Amino acid sequence: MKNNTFIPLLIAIGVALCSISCQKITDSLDTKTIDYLAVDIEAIPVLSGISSTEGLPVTLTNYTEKHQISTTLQAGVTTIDSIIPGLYTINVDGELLVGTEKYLLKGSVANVLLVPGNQHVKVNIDGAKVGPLAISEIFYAGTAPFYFRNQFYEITNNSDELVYVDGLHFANLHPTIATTNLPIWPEEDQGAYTYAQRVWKIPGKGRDYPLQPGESFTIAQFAANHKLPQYNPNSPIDASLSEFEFNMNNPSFPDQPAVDMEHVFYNGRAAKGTVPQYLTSVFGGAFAIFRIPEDESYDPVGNPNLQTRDLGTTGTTLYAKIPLRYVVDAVEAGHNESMSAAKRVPTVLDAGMTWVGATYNSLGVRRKRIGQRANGTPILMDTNNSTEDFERQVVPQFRYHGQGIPSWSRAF
Amino acid sequence: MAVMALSKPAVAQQKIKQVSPNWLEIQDSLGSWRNTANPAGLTRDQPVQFSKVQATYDIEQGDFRRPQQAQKINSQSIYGAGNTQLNDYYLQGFIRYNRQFREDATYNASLIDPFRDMPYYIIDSNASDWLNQLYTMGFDLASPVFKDKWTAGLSVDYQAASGAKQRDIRAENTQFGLSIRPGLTYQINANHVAGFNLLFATSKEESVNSNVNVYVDQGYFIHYGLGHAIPYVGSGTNMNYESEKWGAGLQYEYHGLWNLLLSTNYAIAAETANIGFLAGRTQGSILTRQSESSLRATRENTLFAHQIVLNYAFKLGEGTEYWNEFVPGLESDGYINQHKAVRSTYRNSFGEAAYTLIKKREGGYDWKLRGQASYRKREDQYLLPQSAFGMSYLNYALSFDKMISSGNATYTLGGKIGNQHSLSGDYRYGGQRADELPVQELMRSDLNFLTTDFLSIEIPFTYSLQVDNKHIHNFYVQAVGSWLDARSTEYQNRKKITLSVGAIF
Repeated sequence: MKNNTFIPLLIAIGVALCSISCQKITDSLDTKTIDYLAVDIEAIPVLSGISSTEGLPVTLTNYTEKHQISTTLQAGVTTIDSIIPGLYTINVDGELLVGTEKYLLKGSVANVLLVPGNQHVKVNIDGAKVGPLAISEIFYAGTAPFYFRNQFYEITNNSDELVYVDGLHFANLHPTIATTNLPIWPEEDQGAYTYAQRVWKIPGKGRDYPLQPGESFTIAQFAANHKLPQYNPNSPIDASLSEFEFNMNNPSFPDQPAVDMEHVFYNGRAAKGTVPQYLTSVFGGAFAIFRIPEDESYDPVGNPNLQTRDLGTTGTTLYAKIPLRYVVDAVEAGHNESMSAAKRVPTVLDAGMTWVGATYNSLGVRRKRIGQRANGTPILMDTNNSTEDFERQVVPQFRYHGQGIPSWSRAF
Repeated sequence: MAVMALSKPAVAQQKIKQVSPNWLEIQDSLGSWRNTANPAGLTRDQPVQFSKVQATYDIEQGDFRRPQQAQKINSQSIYGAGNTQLNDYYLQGFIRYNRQFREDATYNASLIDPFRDMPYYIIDSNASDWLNQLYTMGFDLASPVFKDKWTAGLSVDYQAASGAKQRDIRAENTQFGLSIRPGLTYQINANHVAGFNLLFATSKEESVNSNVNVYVDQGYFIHYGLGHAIPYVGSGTNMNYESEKWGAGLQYEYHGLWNLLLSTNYAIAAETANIGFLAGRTQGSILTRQSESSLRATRENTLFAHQIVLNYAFKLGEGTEYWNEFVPGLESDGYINQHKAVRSTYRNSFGEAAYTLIKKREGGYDWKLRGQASYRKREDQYLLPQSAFGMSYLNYALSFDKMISSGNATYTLGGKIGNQHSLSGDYRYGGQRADELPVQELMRSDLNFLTTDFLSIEIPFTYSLQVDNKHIHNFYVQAVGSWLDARSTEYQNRKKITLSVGAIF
C-alpha cells in the first residue's frame, strides 16, 4: 500500500464514520434536567346541589414510584406544586357540608401521565355510590406447587338491609391479566360499560338466598376440601362448605355439594366452552358483581348490542358489555403495585388496585374492617378504592371478620 | 485472519533475538506511543517483530466482593498476538477467547458485565451462575513516515460476547462492540512529535429473560439508578442496549534527557436501554463525557531506566429517564415517548502517580522497583427524589521483581504489597422504597465493599526458557497469586490464582 492510497483510505473512513448517525448523543445532549411540575386540578361537581368542591381532600398517587401527595381542593382550580413527573392516580374523596346537608363525594382519574405540557387534570366529582354488597375477600394466587383450584370469592352484605342475592351476576373483566396494552372499546359506548370475559349468576327465584346485614357467602372455583391429599394439603382453605361453585363439568374435579353458579356468557355464547376449569389469573384479575334492575333485561348472548370485540386487535373473541350503573362492587387485582399503571377497571368502580405480589403463595386480599354491628358482624371499608380498602397478602379464610352465616348455607 | 499471518518472517524494526515475557513487560512499560490511543505512533516506538500465544487459567473466589460479583470465578482464555511489516507498513494484531464460569452472582439479570456503568438493568434476588464467553480481536496499522514528517495509522477492535444466567429469571445475552481509531503523527523537529487521533465506537447488547419453571413467577426490579427501582412479578423482560461513542486524542512527545509523552483523550458516548427490541420503549439512556490525561516521563541509560507516570481521568454520566405511554390500536405505534429528563448523574475522578526504577540487563531486567499511589472519588446523585452515593479512597502499593538466570532459563519472582484506605463513603436514599432489595441489599452492600479498607498481596512468578539462541523462540510459564484481606468484620478475603503457559516466537 502506498501513502497516496493510505491517506485517502483514512479520509474515506473518516467520512464514513461522520456519516454514521450520532442521534443518541445529540438526543441526550438536548435533554433537560428533571424538575418539579406544577399541576392544576380542576374538580368539577356533577351532583345537583353541589356547586363547589372546595375543602375536599385530594390525593395524587404514583404507584410505581410510591409517591403520594395529599392536599385540600381550593375553589376553582387547585394548583399543586412539587409534583415529580410520572403516572398518577388522582382521588378526591370526602364529605362536604352544604347548608345542613352532608354529602359524601368522590371522584378519580387513573393513570394520568403528568409531564410538562400535560399539567391540567379535570376530575368529575359525584356522590359516592356504595352498593349493599361488597366483595370482601378474594383468593386467586393459588398454592405451591401450581395448585389453582382453591380460588374463591367472598361477598358480604355490608349494608343495614336484607339483600336477596338471587340473580346477582359475577364477572371477570377483560383484560384478564393486568397489562399496559389495554383494549380499545367502541367509541359509541362512551365509557358507559365495563367489559367481561365470562359472566355467571347466582341461581334462585328471587327470595331463595337472603343475606342479612353482616352475613357473607363464598363462591369457589371448586368447592372441595383442598387440604385433602388428592388435592393440595398445603392449601390454606377448605372450600367444601362454600355456598356456590363454578362447576365446569370436569369429571376429574366433579360437581360438589355447593350450589352451581349459572353460566351466562363466554365469547358470545351461553355455553361454558371447553375449558376444564374456571381459572382466573393467578396474577390477579378484575372482578365485578352486578345486578339487573327489575324493569330491565340483560342478555349479552341474545343482544348483539351487549357484545363487542377488542377493536385494538384483530381477535374475534367477544366480550360482554356490563353497564356501569348495574355494578354493585368491583375489585381489581394485579401482579404488584407497579401494575397499578396498567389499570383496566374504570375508576368510578374501583379507583385503585390490590395485589399479593407473587403467584402460588397461598395469600389473598381481604377488605378491611372499620366497625361492627351490635351483633358483632363487621362493617367493611368500601370507598371504591381497593388499594385503600383491602389488606394485602393475607392468609385466606372464610368469614375472617366474623361475618354471619346465612341460614340457607350448609355451613349454618 | 491477519493475526495468523503475523508469524511469517518479516522485516523488523529492531533485530533482537531474545524476547522473553520479562523483556516484553519492559517494552510495554517504557514504550510511549503504544500506551496512547494513536496507532500512527506505533512505529516511533521501534517495535520488535514477534508473535505470542498464551493459554491462561484463573480461579478467583472469596466473600470480599461487590454484590453483583460472583462468589467464585473460573476462567480460561487463549490469546494470540503478533506484528509484522507489510512492505513499509507496520501491522500488529491480537485475538483472544475467554470463557468464564461465574458462580453465585446476584442482583443482575440483564448485563454480561454489571460494572460497565449502565444504571438501567434488571435486578433479581436469585443468586445464579453465569456462563460467559468473550471474543476480542483487533489490529493496528501504521504507515511509514512520509514527507519526512507524517505517519498515519488505523486501529480497529472488535468484540463479541455471549452470557447466560443459569437460574430463573434466566438471561440469554449477546453483545458486540466495534471501535475504530484513525490517527496521525507529525514530527515537528528531531525532538518533538505531535499526534492526533479520532475514536468511533458502537456497541449493542441484547438480553432475553425467561423462566424455565413457568409455574413460578419471580419477583424482579427494573433499576433506574442509586437503588431507585420498580418491582415487578413474572419472567423478567427483554432489554436492548445500544451505544455510540465519539472521541479524539492529542499527543505530544519530547525527546531529551527525559523522554516525555503527554497524551489526552476526550470522548462522548450515549447508550440507550430499551425494553424489547422494537423502537419506542426506551427506559433510560446514559450520556457519558470522559477525559483521560497521561504524562509519561522516561529516562534511560545502559544500566537503569526511570519512569514517572501521572494519570488523571474524569468521567461524568447523565442518566436520562423516559416517560412513555402505550397507545393501543391496530394503527398505533405502541409506546409513545411523552417526556424525558436527566434524572441521575454519575461523577468519577481518578488520579494516579507511579514511579518505576529498572535495573536493565540483556533480555529483560535484573530487578524492578515500582511504587504507586492512586486516588478515586465517586459522586452519584439521583435528582428527584434526591439520593446520593459517594465514596473516595486512597490506594498505594509497592512492588519488587527480581530476575535470576540459569543457562537459557530465567526465573522472575516478585512481590507486591498494597493497601486501600477508604477516605469517605455515604449513601442516602430519598425514595419511597427504602426497605426493598435494591436499597437494602444491593446499594448498601456495594457501599460496604467500596468503603472497606483492605490489604493486597500479589506474588508473580515467571519461568522462561530461551529454546533457541539464534531466533526468538521462548517458552514460558507464569503464575500469579493474589490475596485481598479485608479489614472488616463483614468480609474476610478474596483470592485469585492465575496460571499461564505461552510461547514467543
